[in-house]
Amino acid sequence: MSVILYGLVAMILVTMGVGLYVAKKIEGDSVNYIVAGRGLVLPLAAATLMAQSLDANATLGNTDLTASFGFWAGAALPIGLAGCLFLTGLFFAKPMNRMDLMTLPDFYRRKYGRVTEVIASLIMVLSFSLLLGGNLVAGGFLFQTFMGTTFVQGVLIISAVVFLYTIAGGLFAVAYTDVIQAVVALAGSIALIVYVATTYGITIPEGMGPTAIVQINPFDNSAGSWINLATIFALALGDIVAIDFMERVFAAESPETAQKACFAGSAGTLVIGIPFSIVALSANSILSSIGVEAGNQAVLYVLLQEAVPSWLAVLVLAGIVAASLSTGDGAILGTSAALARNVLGIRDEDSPGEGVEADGSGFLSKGSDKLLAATRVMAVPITILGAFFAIQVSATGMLLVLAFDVAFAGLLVPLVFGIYKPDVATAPAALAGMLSGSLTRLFFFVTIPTTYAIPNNLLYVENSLVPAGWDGLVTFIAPLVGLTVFLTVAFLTKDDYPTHSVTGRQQRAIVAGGEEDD
Amino acid sequence: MYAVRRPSALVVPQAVRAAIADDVRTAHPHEAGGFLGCERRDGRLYATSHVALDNEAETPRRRFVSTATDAVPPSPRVFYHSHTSASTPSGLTGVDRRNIPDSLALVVFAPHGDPYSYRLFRRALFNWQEVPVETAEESAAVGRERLPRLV
Repeated sequence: MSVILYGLVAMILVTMGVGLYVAKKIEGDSVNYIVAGRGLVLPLAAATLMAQSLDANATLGNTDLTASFGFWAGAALPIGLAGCLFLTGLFFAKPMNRMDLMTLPDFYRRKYGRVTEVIASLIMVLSFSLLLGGNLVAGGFLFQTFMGTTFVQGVLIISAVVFLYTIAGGLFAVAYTDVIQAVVALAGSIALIVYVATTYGITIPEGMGPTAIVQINPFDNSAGSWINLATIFALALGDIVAIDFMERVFAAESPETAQKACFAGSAGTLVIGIPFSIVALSANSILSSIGVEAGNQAVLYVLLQEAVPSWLAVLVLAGIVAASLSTGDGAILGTSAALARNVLGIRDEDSPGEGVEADGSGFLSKGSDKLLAATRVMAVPITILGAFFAIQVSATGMLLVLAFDVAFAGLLVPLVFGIYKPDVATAPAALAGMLSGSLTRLFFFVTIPTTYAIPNNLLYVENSLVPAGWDGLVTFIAPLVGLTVFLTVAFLTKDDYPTHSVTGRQQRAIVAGGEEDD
Repeated sequence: MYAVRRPSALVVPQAVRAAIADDVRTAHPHEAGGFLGCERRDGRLYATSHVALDNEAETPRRRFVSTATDAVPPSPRVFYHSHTSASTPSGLTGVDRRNIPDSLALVVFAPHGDPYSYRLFRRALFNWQEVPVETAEESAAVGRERLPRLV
């Protein structure tokens, strides 16, 4: 146990040290803090995207779901996340990087105006506070299991660590520590599957493996295919509007770098995540062969405690801690920047990059502009909120998937049309589509007894209106409602609202006219 | 496109009003346009500066087309342009509503070259709403009165 303790402490100290060391790069400038000076080279950008996509869900949640329900139930998480990075690279990385944005809600402001910006920001802030909370829960349990702390102490320690290096070094700290975290997670994942394969062999239970296509057959829901498919598509499409991914896209040094980083991050997510699913398939047979039962504990934790040598347990656990830290830091940074800039509206229109010169009165640096100081201050309530969710809310996992479903249902359509069909995308259409999609998803949340197979003990209204079997399906229905409303309102308002493009670098054209078109 | 908090009125001091009138008169019968830099005081917007833009339209008598430059003042600001024919409306046309990127648009109706009506429109969430336009002495603090408005 002491080897694990020392290993995890070393991992955390190295992360803290690197994060605090690179904080000197901030130089009192919010552009450096929020988007790393828009200068991330390919290895850094790819590593930070890969580390950001892998979180406790894609590792711990993945193994638990695979062991219980089969390969596709668990692997849906890394596959969905990798799919998101692939789609982002294919369709969004280049145009979004060219726009010189600092936060994702900046896009909604530039294209659709202030009201849309604020609503989009609030949805994103809520989603990512829950994402932070979910990762703190995983970290808290890990500390409780392997380091002898209580759950609450574990959550507080991880919160403090992430908070300290994130608030000091912003995206620079996040990116540099993500490189360490990605390397550790990759090494842990590969070492684990190699060790398990050579020591115990890979055993795939009947009907549970990757070839059991019934798990993702949309026409046969007997093996939970709707939930598996919903997980893949909700992550692949819904995370396109994730503030943490897009922040890294904005931070890449060029559009081409942003695109390549997305592709590399996508591949890395699969390389790290899939081995956890494969190992989990064998977990139950390995544990029974050595006479151990997992009980209520996470199957991966039991496997690491009982079936692998300490050095490998340290490596894998460090990888899981790394995944939690790297996702947590991105969540804190992204949400605090969105709160300061897009909800509170702190910005300076006059200065390049919308930062202002350091004035010598900085907070944790030589100088600090208004946005930098406000973003750092906002990190305090966000971290507290994340820790509160982790400690006080029992259904963090369910709320997390709900929050991301709500974002998927409301935010994706205005983003896609804003970039690719700007001539039909009016502000009322965006607002109506956003609200109708998100509210539809919330309606289904309270009218279906389960959310991704998790019983809804929070707010379920018994009814005969919505079939209980629609769990999973509603993930697709809500965005389609949002799309329909968006297109309808766009048609109705096309004559009254400007539909300018916001993706080009060219200066804005102004058109007016005293006579109507012929 | 930067929205501003809803102003109760736009106050155009006489010096700025004269600058607008000069620009419109000089460009006539072509449409003129530009921006007014503003300050917010007591819920009103006060125009403090005037920036005229060149009309680059192929049909300048019925269109105003220009490109935003570094001279365009920061928000809060008002985009203004003139309607220069007796057959044009004194308010926004469909072309205006569809294409003016700013959220505050001042239409100066000047069918014979001299401004005849001033109407300010603010793009709200679901439609364009008219906002009163006033003028005042140099200090812009006292003696405000409504500018002529033809409907």
